[in-house]
Amino acid sequence: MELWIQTSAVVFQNEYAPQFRQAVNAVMRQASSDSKYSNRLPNIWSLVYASASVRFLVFIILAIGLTGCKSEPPPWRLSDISGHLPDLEFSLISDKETQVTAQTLKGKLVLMYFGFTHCAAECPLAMTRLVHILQKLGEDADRVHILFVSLDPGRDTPPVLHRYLASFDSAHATGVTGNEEAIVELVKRYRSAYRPATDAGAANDISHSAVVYIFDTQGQARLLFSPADPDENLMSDLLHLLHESP
Amino acid sequence: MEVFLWFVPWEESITFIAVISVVAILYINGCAECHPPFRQKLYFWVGLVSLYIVSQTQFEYYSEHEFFMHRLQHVVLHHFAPFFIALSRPGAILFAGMPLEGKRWIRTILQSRLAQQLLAIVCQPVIAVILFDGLIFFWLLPSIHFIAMIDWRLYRVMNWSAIITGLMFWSLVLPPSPQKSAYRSAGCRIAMMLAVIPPQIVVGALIFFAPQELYPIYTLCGRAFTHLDPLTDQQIGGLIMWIPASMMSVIGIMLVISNELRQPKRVMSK
Repeated sequence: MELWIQTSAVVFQNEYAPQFRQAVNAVMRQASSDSKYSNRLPNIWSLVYASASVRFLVFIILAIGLTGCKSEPPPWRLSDISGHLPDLEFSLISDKETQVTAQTLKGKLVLMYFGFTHCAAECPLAMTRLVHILQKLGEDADRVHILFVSLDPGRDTPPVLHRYLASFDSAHATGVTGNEEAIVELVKRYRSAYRPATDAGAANDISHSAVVYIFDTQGQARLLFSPADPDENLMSDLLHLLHESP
Repeated sequence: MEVFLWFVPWEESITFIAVISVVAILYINGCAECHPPFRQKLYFWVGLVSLYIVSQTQFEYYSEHEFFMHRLQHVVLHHFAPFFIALSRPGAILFAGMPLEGKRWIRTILQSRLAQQLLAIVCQPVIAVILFDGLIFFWLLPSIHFIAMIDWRLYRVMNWSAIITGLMFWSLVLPPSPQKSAYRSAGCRIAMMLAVIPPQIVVGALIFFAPQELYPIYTLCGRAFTHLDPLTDQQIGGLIMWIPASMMSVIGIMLVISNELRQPKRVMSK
């Protein structure tokens, strides 16, 4: 950064300063010259042209200013994605066979996970971890909700989802399913991988994301929790999110 | 039917489709007037169609979810497609294909002082080389890459910037050199193409030999090829930067040399 500033200062001195000096001189000459020239307007364009270099300088100063006054780093230990992913928005069928939208979950922290009930390894593991962390949160857990989005709508009917979630923690989790288009739309919205199994027999091979998307109480995407992050990081960030002023 | 599904865009971008179609229509219009040789037309369509294929088909799904596919997409966006488009020198044909009003606009814009200065800056050989390589490296900084892959707006900016800098660079260096202000001698153009190779090799090698995962975003959002482990994916990506990307420069250099050899008179007079 410093090197860059130095170089740009040198560039400024060598390239732009003479132009500027010339332009100012020209204007001064015209202003102070005798009547033969005084009825002519000062050459404003040369000044404006020179001001391009002034703009350049202002830009550099601004750039230094912006990088210089960095505010305190946010407290997040997980990957902070605030402002980079769109707000939560969907309309799907829950495991209790009711329509669920993002509005239904307003006021709660949402932990969204894409998975399917026939998933052998990652999904049960991720769900177990999330439920475990929720238990540790105690009373605060009531303001956190797990949203399990099924990527296998063909087999994950609401009753199947309900039974699946009951084995974890049905009070703090909702499973949602729906038609394939709605699910693909949600997947695309969060840039998650999803390839439906080509034939029913190989359904264990649905590729999907490993990450848990964390939305704040207003439905804004805030953090990503990856399987590699330790539980404590998720705990501390959830507490921060729960107790930040909206 | 199955084949047709491959051509459905994964993430359709109206801007992209609109720009590509407008350029295609202008080119067809212009061809009716200028009658360029077949080879020139072929180069242009190869470039344009490959731009479309890597951006607006299911290919994009894979390039969003697999690092080496992402690199492959960028080799096309930044090297391959702009190379062919620049080689076909479509400027005059596109201009001929424009309606009168458009021609007037383009002329006013090109003759404005700002545009002239901007062109003079970006056509400066050192700046062009820095822009061409710097842009790849900027988007590959791990923290920047993370955000660019997750934020669809930045993702679009990334891909567009690759196309634009690619077009600028290749149209500057490939033969025949533009005759006006952007004219550069053959030696200068060869030097420019040589200059962009080593940095790409270094960064490609750095990625290839990195002991840990540099771009966890692909693991987080899920990989398209589940059986390929993250490090292998990264290594293939590094190799793609290392070899095919540099190869385009070599082809470009050979084209410049052969073009020079075909003009013995000018060489002799110098």
